[in-house]
Amino acid sequence: MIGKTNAGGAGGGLNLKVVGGTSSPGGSVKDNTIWVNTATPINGYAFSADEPENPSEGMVWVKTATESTTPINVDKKNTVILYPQTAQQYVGGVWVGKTAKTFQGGAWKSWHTFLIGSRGIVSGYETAGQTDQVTVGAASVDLSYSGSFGRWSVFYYSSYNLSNYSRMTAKGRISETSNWFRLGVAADNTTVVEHQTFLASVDVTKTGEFEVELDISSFSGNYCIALYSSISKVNVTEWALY
Amino acid sequence: MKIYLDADYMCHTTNNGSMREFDLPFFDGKCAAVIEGYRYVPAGETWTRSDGVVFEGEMIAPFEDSRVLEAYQKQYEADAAEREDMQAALALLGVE
Repeated sequence: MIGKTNAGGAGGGLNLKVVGGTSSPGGSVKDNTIWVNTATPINGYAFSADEPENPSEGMVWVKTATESTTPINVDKKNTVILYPQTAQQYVGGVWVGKTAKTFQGGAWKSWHTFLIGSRGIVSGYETAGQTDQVTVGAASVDLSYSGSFGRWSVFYYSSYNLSNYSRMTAKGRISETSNWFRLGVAADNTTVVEHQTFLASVDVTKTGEFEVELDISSFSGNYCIALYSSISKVNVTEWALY
Repeated sequence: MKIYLDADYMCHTTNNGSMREFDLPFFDGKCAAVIEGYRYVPAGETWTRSDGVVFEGEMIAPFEDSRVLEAYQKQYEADAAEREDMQAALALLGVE
């Protein structure tokens, strides 16, 4: 874990800075400045894959992973790269999701997560329905169907924290459909994602290229998120959370 | 289940005279508090969120905190189960 326990600010020798506020800092901003959108004063921060133990009020936890839309080399001489993915702040005894951006190359860059993308597919997924009709490639997923009964197939993560995200997107192509392709959210740990179990969804019912978005701004905590094909042949090349 | 859509695509259980009517199986069995915490964007239409992001239908998503809606629905189902139990007990006692 990389972190500091005094007031948030310059990274004490590290090539990064963490600042708070409800609007992005103006004026001269240095590269690798992380702005956390918060009205609560930041009292220290931690960069780690796991939740910090014994956090103090106002602490920001930047969850790190193996990929990020804004990787940061924190060493001024050598190479030590952090991959920030999401930010939370300890407020009133609980972790609260916050949006964050990194200033790099003259612009503020949003943090988002690719579940399916050019860098590959996030592990931990499951399949349901006609599982032999789900083909997981290196950077895309194919959902299809066969036969006359139970013509649905699903690729999903049964428990994913949506606290830091406000929209979910998917891109791909539908080559054949008699019903729909769905991007959806269901209850946490839903092991078999039947169409009637969704809490939110967006459907595509036409063949061709598609790019869909689902509003998930009211979801906080863990939920099942899914790509669902109902009597459709779909190739999904991107699935992301913003 | 019949619901009514206002100009901001928010769902309602009663029509104030200016809303559009839709029959959505998604809301079958849902209590009024849950229904009225959702937004529905029909196919072919778009809704623009306050931050400028545009969402195309057919989309259905809550605008109220999903955990609050889940609590409403659980209470609704618990109340319904209790009413059924009471009615069964009354039937057993021969009380109409």
